[in-house]
Amino acid sequence: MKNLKVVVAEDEILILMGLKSNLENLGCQIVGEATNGKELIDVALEKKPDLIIADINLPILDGLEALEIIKQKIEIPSLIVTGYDDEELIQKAKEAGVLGYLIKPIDESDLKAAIEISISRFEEIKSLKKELEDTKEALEARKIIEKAKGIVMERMQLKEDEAMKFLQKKSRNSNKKLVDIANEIIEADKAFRLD
Amino acid sequence: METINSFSSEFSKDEQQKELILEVHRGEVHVVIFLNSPERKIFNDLLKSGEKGKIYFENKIINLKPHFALNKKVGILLDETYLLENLTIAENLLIVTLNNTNKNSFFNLKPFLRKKQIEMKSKKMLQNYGIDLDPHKKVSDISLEEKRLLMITKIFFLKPEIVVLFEPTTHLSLDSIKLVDSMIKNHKNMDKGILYITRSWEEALRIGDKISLIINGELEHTFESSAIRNNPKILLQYIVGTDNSNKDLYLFPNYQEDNQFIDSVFEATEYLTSEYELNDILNFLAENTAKATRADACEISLIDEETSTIIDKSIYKNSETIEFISNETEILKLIDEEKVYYFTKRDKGFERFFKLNNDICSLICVPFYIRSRLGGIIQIYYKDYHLYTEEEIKYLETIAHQTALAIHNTKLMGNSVLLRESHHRIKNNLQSIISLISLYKTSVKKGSQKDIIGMLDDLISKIKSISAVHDLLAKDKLGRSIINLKDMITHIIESMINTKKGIEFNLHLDDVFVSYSKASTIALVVNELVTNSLKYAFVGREKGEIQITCKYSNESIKLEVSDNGIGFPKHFDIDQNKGLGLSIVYSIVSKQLDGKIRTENDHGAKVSIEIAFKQDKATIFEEKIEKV
Repeated sequence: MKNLKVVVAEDEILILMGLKSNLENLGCQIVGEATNGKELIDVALEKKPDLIIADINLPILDGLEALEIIKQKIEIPSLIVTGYDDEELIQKAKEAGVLGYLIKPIDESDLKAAIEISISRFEEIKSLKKELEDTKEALEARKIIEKAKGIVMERMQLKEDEAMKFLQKKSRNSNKKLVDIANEIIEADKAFRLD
Repeated sequence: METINSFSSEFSKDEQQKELILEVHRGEVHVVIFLNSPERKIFNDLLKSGEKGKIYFENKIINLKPHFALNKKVGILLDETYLLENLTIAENLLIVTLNNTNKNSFFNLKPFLRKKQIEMKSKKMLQNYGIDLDPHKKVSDISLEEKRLLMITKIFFLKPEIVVLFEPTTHLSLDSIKLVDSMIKNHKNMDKGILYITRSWEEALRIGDKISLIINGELEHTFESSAIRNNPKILLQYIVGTDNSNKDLYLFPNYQEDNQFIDSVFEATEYLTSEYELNDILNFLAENTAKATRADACEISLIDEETSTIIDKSIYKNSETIEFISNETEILKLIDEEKVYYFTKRDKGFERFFKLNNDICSLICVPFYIRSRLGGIIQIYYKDYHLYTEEEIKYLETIAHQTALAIHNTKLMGNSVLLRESHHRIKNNLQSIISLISLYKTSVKKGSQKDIIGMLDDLISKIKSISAVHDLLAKDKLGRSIINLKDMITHIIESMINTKKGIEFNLHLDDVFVSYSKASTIALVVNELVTNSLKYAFVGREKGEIQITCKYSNESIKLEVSDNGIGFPKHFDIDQNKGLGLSIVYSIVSKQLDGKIRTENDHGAKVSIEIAFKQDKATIFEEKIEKV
């Protein structure tokens, strides 16, 4: 939690001051504060913090609306601190991608636990997302290579394993990724086919 | 209800003796309708002279001379008034009472010697009955109506076991009829009996608990008036054919052919379960009800349970040319336990239900109840003499229930919004308190705060200032979230007055209304500034003065806290201040209230705060909405 960059949004100054004091005690670095939803968007986009802690009940734009807009630009984990505990709002918070929902009154230890959980949850989600991306990429590459292999088999009258070896050799010799070689072959094949 | 008084008379007509027995129970008004005039006259003469028959009361014949007809047992009002024309109103009234105590000397002169006492007494008596008459006046100088009213008052004043009123509304204006009606009601509530003779069945329905019909000198039938209210046909079938004036007057609507009532009820239910505003629902119900009952107008009035006053109403008229303005206060007075109230123009008391009426001939009222308390009335109006049917009443009752439901729902919804909001406030306040404690904790850690007792005192007074706002909110009966800064500041100062001896507070406060959230932050600011003055301004001094000003001008709130103490230290700058209290004040004013704060030394310390603020209901309301 040390040096975690945080933006806090709360319209009641006293509560804001209290939250800031709590966060500083926990070793966080307050990089920005906001007293309404619009300010929150501006500050968050400018400072790109590691965490946003926001009240729902903010003037101009409410906290959830502001988080929704921020989410569309950058991924920042967020925590809600509010006096409302109705189902409807919690549902809305979920939809806005909020990772923690704290109901007032809260103290330093509540904050600490919630921040830890939401940060690790965020990391977890981030790595899951990365994994998913990688898998998707691999799957895509596989498709392209298969296609290139088909072309090589047809044009050079090779068997499947021979075609594959041909592609791998080309990749090694040119120091390029297998998928890139495959792409080149597909492009070249296209150029030769007039129809 | 036990039968105590039985009033019977031998009623003779054309030499042929017929016995007519009319029973009057305690605590009830028994109305007797004589349909033809000659019979009515005979009955009146009988009561007057006893020549043509006998009257029994509790099985004893009473055959009284008219003026003796007033006593503790029976009070009779006939078509003539028996008043002594040359005496004053006071004397006439008081003779009655004296006559009662000393029956042997009717012309007892004692009362005339104690003139002042009599006048005082009679004045009070008239006032009690709500009658505007000067007791000094001679009876010969007052109008016929006033004489009748005086006579009736005289009868009721003695509180006889049974009162017989023969067409009491004759010669009476609307206002007097109202007075008589209330006397009858009072008398009934004292558990005494009333026999009321009239020719109008509508009047009978208005006032009677039991209604008897006399046709050809015989008691045709006795009805419970509630039964007739539910279905007037059962009475009318006797009357139509006997009395020409009733013929063709009433329209008997026939609803058998269509299902319009059921359709209308369905529609109403559908409307209720949708998310319309209460006012829309009521307007819809009024229109629908008028159409279903073929009425010319329908009005739904809502009544405040606490004060029994009309708080809102929806009205529908099927044409803009119908001219009438109802008088709900009069209608309200009627509402008892009946389900239906029905009136027509033929009843002399009818016009009282209107402030203006050019078109309406019939009026039907159905009250509705919310959790067994009167919640409102549905009134339907007709231009003609409309006689309602059982179906119509059933329908109106259903609509009444639905209206009650709609209102109850809205109230519940209102309550839950309020509950949710106060829930939120409480949590926010607790958070503020935790914040305060955290801030103190941090400053203790850093070593800048060493006086733990002083710190706890500070905390307590800050919590008190937060609760001051809550106290004021709780006291607002209308449940508004608007606070008068004047009340709030006074409240805060009251709790601080005794914290230090020798300090005088001077308050100069305007009425400034702000939203709840603004008020609670201003409360903290005031509390902090005053605490500071108390703490630092008068060190080493025995006496001092703190002045608090809160004014509203040029669209801004100007708040000033000053003292005549030692003043701020040299080069003091609130912006750079490290003290916790003042830094909270500075943050609140500059960030939350978007205001300006200035400190100066002017024979002591002075802090001036200016907050831009438009004081109009719209702003406060908007701010409230924003918060919700």
